[in-house]
Amino acid sequence: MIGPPGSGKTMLARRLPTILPPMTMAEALETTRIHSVVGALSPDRPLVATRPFRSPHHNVSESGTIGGGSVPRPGEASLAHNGVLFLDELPEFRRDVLEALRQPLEDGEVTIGRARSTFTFPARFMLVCAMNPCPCGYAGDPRHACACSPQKIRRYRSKISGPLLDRIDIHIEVPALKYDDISTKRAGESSSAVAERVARARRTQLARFAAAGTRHPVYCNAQMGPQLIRKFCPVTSQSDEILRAAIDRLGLSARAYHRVLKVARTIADLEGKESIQPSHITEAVQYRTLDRTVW
Amino acid sequence: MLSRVLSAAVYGVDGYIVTVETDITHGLSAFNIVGLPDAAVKESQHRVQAAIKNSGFTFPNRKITVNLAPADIKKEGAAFDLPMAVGILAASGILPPGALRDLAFLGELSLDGTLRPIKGAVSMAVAAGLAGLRGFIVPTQNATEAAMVEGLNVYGITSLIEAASFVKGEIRVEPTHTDVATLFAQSAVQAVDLAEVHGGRP
Repeated sequence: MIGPPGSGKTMLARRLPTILPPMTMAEALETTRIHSVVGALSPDRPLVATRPFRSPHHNVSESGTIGGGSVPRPGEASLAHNGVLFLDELPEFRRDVLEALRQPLEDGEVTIGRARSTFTFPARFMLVCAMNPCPCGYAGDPRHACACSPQKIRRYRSKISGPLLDRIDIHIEVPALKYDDISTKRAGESSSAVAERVARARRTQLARFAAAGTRHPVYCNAQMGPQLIRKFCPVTSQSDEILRAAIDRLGLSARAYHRVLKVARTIADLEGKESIQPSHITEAVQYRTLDRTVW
Repeated sequence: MLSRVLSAAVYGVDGYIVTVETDITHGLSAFNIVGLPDAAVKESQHRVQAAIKNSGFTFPNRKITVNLAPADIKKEGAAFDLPMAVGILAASGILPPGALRDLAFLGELSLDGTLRPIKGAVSMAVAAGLAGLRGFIVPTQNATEAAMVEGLNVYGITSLIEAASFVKGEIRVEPTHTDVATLFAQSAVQAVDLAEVHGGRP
């Protein structure tokens, strides 16, 4: 999420776990064990039954993020297992920390090698990042003047490497709110209503993967491999044209291509559509703002 | 005399059983801990000594050797305080050694002999359950969490004196029972809601 200070990036991220499908008992026990090892459980409610939301400060070290120590302990990535890992002020994080997150993002686990042995911690989380568009925070904001030079902005944004950005499926801009939006008494859509839509899409996906009889259990679109993508994300010739233009003109990678298809499949599932429409592809491509405009 | 007390530790996120062997022999007063202890485990000797004394027991002024087996894995943290103290009491004849069989002890001791909570109780309880132990003795603060493991008798205790009386059979401690399904239902409550977010409509 990219947007000026105070536009609600953190607020949105904090509410993301509330719309995710509820934890299963097995997931809760897995996450609880990790929290127990670092002593993070409360004595009277020692079960992590809601998806964890971890928001480490940006000066966190590599071992604090993926785990470490002479007898390694799990880090923030593992504490966020089955939940959300939120990195606020993404460009402020140390580069080695961000690069270290690539392994868990791909594999869902962290492997730490020591001379005597190798430790593996589960770390399957949804990564959510927030950043300002520039160091002062107001680039592109119609109501504030940005005080940053182009080089400064470039340096700020270059702290996020292409490979990391490539693994982030959805880039959105969160603009500053207008007065009417802030003062409105009208409540937004409730978490339970959104969660119901998410749950419905998940059920569709589960049924689809169960019918396909995959070798390893697949629970959601994100876990699809290339074979399943070919099978379940067929594109029409019109969509194909859109994708061709996106890949060629925006310079999307092969990984990004697959990810766009998975996001399009998810958008279609959320709308309850059986096949992927061109509009779903367009929306999925649109979510790669950062590949397109600023990097 | 030699005593053997079971305990547990965490390796990664998995627990494993540790045997705390305590030997007391004649010789110059000494307290040595072997079995790759880290600083917190080495400092244990001072807490254990004070806790035993302040709980009204006699601390043997002889040569004490404690081995944490398996001896080739590095041991961390203060959770071995209680098994070491129990081991010393058993090796000096205060506790009957037979009564300790198939019981695992875990807990950090404060100088007055009360217990402080430990980390990783769930993983260690899983290991104790797999090993088929008769009882798993932890500080009360960790009892609910350890009792989530089915088929393991978890006893939450508050102090070294209580642990000693329990082992000797002088007091009864009820095993802690955790209803995981109820706990799950109680804990699955969200504190925030998406309805609080304004704007965002195209």
